[in-house]
Amino acid sequence: MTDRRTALARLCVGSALVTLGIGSANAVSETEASLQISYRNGSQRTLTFNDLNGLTQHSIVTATPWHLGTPTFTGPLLRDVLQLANFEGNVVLASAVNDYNVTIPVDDLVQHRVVLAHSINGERLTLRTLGPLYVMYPLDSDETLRTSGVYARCIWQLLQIKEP
Amino acid sequence: MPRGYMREHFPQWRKHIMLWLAAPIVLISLTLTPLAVFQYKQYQSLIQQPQYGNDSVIMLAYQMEREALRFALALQDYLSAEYTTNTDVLMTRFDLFYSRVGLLEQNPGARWIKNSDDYVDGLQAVNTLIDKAVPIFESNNTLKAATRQQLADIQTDTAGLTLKLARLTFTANSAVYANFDKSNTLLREQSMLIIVVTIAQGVLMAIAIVATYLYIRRHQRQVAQLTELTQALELARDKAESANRSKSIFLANMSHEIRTPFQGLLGMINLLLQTRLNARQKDYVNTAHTSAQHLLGVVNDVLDMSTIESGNLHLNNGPVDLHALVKEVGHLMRTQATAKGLELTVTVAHNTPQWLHADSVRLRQVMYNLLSNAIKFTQQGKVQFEVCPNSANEPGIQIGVVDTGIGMSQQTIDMLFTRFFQADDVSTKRYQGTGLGLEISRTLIQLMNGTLHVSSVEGKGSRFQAVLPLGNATPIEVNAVVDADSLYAMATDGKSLRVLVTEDHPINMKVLSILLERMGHEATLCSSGACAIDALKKDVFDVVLMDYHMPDMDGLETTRLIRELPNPAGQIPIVLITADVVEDTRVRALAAGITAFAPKPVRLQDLHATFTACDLLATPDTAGRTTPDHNTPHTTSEDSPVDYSYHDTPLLNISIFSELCDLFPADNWATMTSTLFDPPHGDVPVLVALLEGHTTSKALGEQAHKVKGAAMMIGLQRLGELCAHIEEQCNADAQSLQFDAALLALSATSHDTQQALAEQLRTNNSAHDA
Repeated sequence: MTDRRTALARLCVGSALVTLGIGSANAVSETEASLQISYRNGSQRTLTFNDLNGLTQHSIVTATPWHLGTPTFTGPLLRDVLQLANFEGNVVLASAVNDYNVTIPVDDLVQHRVVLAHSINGERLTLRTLGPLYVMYPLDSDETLRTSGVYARCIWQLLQIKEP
Repeated sequence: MPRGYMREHFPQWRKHIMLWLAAPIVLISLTLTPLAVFQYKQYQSLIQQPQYGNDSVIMLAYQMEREALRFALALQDYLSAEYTTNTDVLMTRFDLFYSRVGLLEQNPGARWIKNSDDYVDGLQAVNTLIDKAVPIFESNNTLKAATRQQLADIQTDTAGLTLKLARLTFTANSAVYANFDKSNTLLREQSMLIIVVTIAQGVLMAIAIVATYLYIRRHQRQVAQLTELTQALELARDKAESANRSKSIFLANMSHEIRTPFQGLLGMINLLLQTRLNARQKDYVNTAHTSAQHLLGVVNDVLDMSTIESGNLHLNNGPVDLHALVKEVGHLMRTQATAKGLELTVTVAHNTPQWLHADSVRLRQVMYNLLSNAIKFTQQGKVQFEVCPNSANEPGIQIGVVDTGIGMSQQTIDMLFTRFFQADDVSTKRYQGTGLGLEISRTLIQLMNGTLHVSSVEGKGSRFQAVLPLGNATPIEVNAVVDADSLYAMATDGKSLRVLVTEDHPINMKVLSILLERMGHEATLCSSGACAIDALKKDVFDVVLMDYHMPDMDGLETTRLIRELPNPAGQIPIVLITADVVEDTRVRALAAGITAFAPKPVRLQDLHATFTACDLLATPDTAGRTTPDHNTPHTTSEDSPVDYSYHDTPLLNISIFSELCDLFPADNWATMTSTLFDPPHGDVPVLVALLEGHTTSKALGEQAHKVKGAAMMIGLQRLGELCAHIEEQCNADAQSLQFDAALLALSATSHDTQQALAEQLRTNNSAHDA
């Protein structure tokens, strides 16, 4: 019971924060997509969709192991986002809504056009469609990206990034 | 030889090589190709693996199960919460659950389990639930509006899912491991295959190496065989060559052995014919003669044929007087033709070359053969013997023999040159002959690089045309052929001598006796030196013909013994018959007492010349012939000074001298003159010394005789005559010899003769060198 309570509490806190961005249940509003950033010193910051949209938008077209065909992923470059958030570190500790965690080396973000996608084929991503934020590597652009390690870093339903 | 030999005896060897090379290559590629295919497939599958990502079905199934459970939990919390309007968590949980279903369904990895019952079952249940829940969970508002019952329903359904989802996870797990197993097995199989193929290739390569080695060894063996064969062939060739050589030697010997007695036989028969015979005897001898002639012809043909067969027939080319040859042959054949009542015409075209470079014997043989055939096969009419120059640009001549004889059919012409073929097989006995003649003639013509053409009309006649591209030759000086008959006439003018012939060889004996008889002399034959001495003791002879080589006592020994006989036998002129013209022999012969030399083979004219030189043929009324205008030494007067000067006698008898010059080289002359003239032992100085002694003696006479003989022999005419005179005086009347005069004359003559000799030798030598 106690564990459930704490879990629930945590969930509430988390979802409350998410709700700030998610808003209404049906139509995904522009305010739903938001990224939480945790800093080393313990401080936190939230980037809204507008923040993200304010950055230069990039589109990458690639086939993925989780989609049919070659969809277009649109969003800012993740390294731009980090820059915007004054993120410091050589890795990014990313975690998803379903408790999935992965470490993304910043070198990847520098070397490749890794996009923090909010839209797929022009349509906004929702939680049900593995959004609202989906980290996508330009898999088709480079043969060396077709490894399980890279696939693991294509984190969907992104919730939070943390400094190491 | 090797390369053609290989191709002949190993025609497949090239194909073999190709096979040996091709087989391994084909086999290797056959084994490599499936391997390559396998490798490629493996590579492809390896590439594909990462494309499926690390979201294996196990993970997806598990995640779905997890989210389903969490959703169920969230529902329970929401329902149990007394008072809440916060649907966010629930919505989130549902969204997450929803998203997992899609992931599983779309994942290509799901193909491993798509057919399993658990999967189908599970997903069906999941989709049913989702379909039920979507309208409720459309938005936060609809969710808030949902009844408790609705939500409780969904919760129950979700709880019911969990077992199915658990089973799904287990299935997924098994499937994945089964996949692993399959991959593992596949890998193991492929590895096995690779190993097998590698081994197979190794084996093949080993086979190829062994095969190559075997091939090389076989090749080496073949090379060794070839070497052996070559050596054997060389040996065989050497054997064949030596056999051929022995055969030709045999032929030459046989040829000689057979021909010599034949010549003798024919010669005897010829002589017999010239003696006085009665009619019957003459008839018999004629028949014998004909048979002998015929037999000789056959033997000659057979020997020629054998020579041709063994490849030993060679032409002895030399300058040939064609015109003379044609006349001779025509002359010969005319008798035959006339005997048969045929006319023989001999035509030589006006611009036919006279001197040709050819083998006169063989050329005569060809002409003879063609003409005798023509005469043989012609019963009436004429035979034409035509000689004309060869066609425009060709050297040489053409010989045509045309007859009006029985002719030949085309068939006969075609078979004409086959051996032993006789044109008339029906009555072979009618036309005598070995059948070899024409073939020999044709071979001879071919040897002369010529051709023989035959044309004939049966019943009308035939024409045999020989085309001989012979080169021209420079004419040679033909010594006037001294006709034996004219010599005979010459001989009978003079004396008939009584000649003692000492000769062991019966044939030579015969020949000499014939010759002497022809010359009109009387010949007595002795076959040994002892016999000759006996004969000389009993009878008187004018001259002895002495053979050099005799058993028991040779010619010189006999001569010495004869010289010891009392006069006149001891003084008899002895002529040595020898082929040996070596200086040494001459010197020894002269020392033994030989008067003169006659060369072998003995010719009538040689004998005649020798007798003349020995002053044997001078009869009292022909005494002046050899020494014209010369006071005969026979007339002696005590007061009248004897003339020893012999001014009118030439110093040198040029003809004899020239003849001898041709025989001897210049240094021989030097030796001879020194023998004669050089003091103190030279013959002339010795004579001088004896004369100075002012006493006639046997030694003086002998010495004079010696000088005379030697001088006469080599053509020192004056010296010889002078010495003859001295000798005669010495022998006849010791008083008549006027020593001082003779000495003077001798010195003068000796001196002059030497000068003349030297000059003549100089002239002759320069002529030779020119």
